[in-house]
Amino acid sequence: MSWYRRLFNLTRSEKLTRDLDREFAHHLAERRDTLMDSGMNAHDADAEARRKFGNATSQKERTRDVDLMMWLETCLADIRYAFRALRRSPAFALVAILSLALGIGANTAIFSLIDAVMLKSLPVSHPEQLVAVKAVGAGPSDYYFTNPLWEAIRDRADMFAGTFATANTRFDLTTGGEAQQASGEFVSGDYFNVLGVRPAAGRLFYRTDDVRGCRATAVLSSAFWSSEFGGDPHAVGTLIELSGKRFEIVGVADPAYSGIAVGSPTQVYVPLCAQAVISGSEADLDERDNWWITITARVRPNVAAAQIASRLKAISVPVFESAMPTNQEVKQQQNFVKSTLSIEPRTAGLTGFRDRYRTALYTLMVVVAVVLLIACGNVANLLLARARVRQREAAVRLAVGAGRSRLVRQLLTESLVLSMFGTVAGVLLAMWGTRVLVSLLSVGRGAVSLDLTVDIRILAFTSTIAILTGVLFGIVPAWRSANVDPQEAMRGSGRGITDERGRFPLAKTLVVGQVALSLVLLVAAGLLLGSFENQTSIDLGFRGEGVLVVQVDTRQMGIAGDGRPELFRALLDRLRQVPGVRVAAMTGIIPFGNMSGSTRIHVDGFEPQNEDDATVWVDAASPRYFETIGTRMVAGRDFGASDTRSSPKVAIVNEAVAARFYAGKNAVGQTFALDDRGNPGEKYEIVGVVKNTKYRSITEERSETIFFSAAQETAPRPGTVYVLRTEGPTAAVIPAVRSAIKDMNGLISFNFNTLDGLVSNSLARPRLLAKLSLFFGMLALLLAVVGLYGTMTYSVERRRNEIGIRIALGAARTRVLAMVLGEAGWMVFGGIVAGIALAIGATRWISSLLYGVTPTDVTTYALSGAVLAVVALAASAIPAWRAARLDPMEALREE
Amino acid sequence: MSKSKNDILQGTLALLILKSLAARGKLHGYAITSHIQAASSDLLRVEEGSLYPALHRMEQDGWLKAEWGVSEKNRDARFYTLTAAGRRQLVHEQASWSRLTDGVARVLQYA
Repeated sequence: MSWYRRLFNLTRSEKLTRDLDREFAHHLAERRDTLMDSGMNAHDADAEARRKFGNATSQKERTRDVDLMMWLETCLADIRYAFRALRRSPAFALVAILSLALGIGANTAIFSLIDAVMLKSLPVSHPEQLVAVKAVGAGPSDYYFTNPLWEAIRDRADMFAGTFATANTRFDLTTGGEAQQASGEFVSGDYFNVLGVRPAAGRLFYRTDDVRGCRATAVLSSAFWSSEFGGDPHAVGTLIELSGKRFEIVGVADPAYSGIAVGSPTQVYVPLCAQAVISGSEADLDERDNWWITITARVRPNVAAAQIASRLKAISVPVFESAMPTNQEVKQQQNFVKSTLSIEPRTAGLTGFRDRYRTALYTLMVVVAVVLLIACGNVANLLLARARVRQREAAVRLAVGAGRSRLVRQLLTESLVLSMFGTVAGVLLAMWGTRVLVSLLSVGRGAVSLDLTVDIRILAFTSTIAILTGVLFGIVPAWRSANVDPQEAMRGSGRGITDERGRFPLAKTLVVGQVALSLVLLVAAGLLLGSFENQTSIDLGFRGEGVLVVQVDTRQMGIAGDGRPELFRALLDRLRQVPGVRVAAMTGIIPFGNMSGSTRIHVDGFEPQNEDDATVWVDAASPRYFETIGTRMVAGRDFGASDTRSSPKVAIVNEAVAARFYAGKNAVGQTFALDDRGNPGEKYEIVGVVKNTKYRSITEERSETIFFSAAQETAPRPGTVYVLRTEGPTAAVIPAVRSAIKDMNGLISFNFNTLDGLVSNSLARPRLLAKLSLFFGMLALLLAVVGLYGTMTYSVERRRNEIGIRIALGAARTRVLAMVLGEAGWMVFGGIVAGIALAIGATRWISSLLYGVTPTDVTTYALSGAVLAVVALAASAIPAWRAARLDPMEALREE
Repeated sequence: MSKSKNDILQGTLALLILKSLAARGKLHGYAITSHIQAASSDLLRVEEGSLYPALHRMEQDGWLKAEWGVSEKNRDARFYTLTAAGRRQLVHEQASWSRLTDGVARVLQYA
């Protein structure tokens, strides 16, 4: 009987019981009729019929459960037997369970991360209805809008059940002094309402909170409320200082909700209109070139996508016309109006985090799956060896009449019991491992917080791999055991002279496969490690060690733009006098500081081929900036005291600019003009050329940078960056710098970094990936080598007689050693060859993660192969040595 | 009381049920017992406690097909018919039964 019918009976037992009731009732009635026909009265006939029928209930149960019970009983017996068998050989059980625990644990850990990052939905009502609104062709990115655009869309978006805008930001919680930052979100009035988030205290925002000229109000996240206010309900109604401005706390959001972006929780929400409060001017909200807002909408459940698309199309022209950027050419303006609005699903939250880690996470998933496969290979090999030992047991059972399928089932049960143990241990490992992984992901300011609670997907995933692995490693050994010929197995005393055919080649094939797979992982780890090394050893164009970076922010002082240069210069002079500071300078933008600025320039004789051709990064530097960060000047001069607001405008360019715009000429003395709505604007003369420096990231494709003179800026932004090259450790000067800034003005807020630290943060992902893949590569190597060692030990054990005879007949011990090593050598060689072929095919997929190495880098392959070969041969040397030292007398006596 | 007299040898019940259905076509459980009893001239009697589990098992093995219908006495009854697999099984079981009885007969003769 097929197993699904049994399950069917189990689940449909109610219907079955009813059917049986009807059937038995009919039988009783017929019997009664017969008895009455033979002259019995109705009452007696009834009683007699029942008596003959017996106990109806037990009848029913027997009928229904006849097979099910037997099945369950044999299952329980199998499980009991499996436990006993495993207890009898604890070493085997331990190695098998440990291998599986490592494999399954790694899989569960990585899958939990993928689940948290990719699959979990936002904790809001009906997240499947949420869509991201895109403006294709309008701004620098499809997902970002200007505030005028948002307002225009908001007022026309009647095709949606609701829309809201968000823009993330950071608030400074202190008044002057060292900055203490909170992650913030500007949200439109409908934000909480559309998401369906409830307050934990007070109230959340209404539409009336987000109007031009609004009061400064704030909603806290539950986590922030407990960490900063101890969850005090009286905090609602009090004031909180955000970047120097007072905001009234009106409420606290539901603890389940941590913000719309997975991975980066929001701590403080303020209405979009409060941007004006923070910046001190309404003008920012009318800014038509500032793309800082993302828009999310909730679609109505019964409205078709086509309908939404056509409505969006209809409002596109008025929306874009009303929010036309001001500083564009006519042609650009025409294009702008032609931009289109569209929507995209957003169930799992919009998150750059997700995009950044997608390839990395999927790569890791494949890596751990391979580790698990290797672990399965080990367990399969152990089971094969065991099957050999237990051959007689199987033969006896077959001889006394056990069915082969029954035997396979019993052995498979044993495998499944093993994999269950492995899974339990693996899940424990994973719970610990996932937390470690998340803490590794959180570097610098980008604290990562993920919802790692175990959900149904993780449980389903883990139980599936548990069963799959159990069957995967168990089926072949079980099949082999069940197919022994009982007579032959009983006759052989368990150890022949040589037995090379049959199951042994299978064990060897498994080892070859394991070696091949572990080589693939080693190669991948080698490539990732190599590209990480390339990134750390690349010439950044500056020397980061010993450079302290002080970012200052004067917004809380409320000082006007034209007063800032004076303040900045005075502060620079103070910092230069701090003991331990060798040289100091000021810059608008610090490399790797998540800051950037760019502009288009006009150069006579340079014809841009496309939009980006004439675009360069910009920065504003004080004199001695290049000296401070260790960038060499290759031509011309540094900025000096003679460069002032009234002197001719000057600039320093890096070599990339010189090569792009002034190829073949000496750039010093040349001029360029800033782009002014498509026309040449203000002219600058190049006075110096510096070495190329990386601007935003190590892997950036273009690093063309123009440095303007900070002293010539008329109205700089309220923040600036000081770089200080120190004599000793950078930390030593921090107290003095802190008091110097406080002496200058108590309302200046600031924070410290080291230039090295900024660079290192930018390498977090490749570092993590390299470390993890190396870890898993090593794990794979270890598992494969354990497999090889086990197989060789077993092989030597089985050939004791043969080896004993050889030695007795005068074979040199070195020949025996060579023979065993040769056997292992062939397996390893085969594995390496197969592994190289596999790796060439597989590593193409990670080429996007590589920097400065090709997926077929010969050195990496050679090195991985060499490491594998050495470790593998070292492992087989032990059994080989044992074979060579065999005492022939002893070995032969055992026969 | 000697209980074994009417008991049907283990394993032959299936054969009897298959044969009854082959002979009579569509039958309900009670009719099967009556048929076996009558056809064997009261030598064989099928116990209900063996009949229904057997029917059930044979149905799940795909030898029988069951459907609800109305009996000649206008009662709600479950009718069994042979399937193609059941017919094959009958041929098979008949053959092995003959072999068995033949063998037993020879042994008895020899003794």
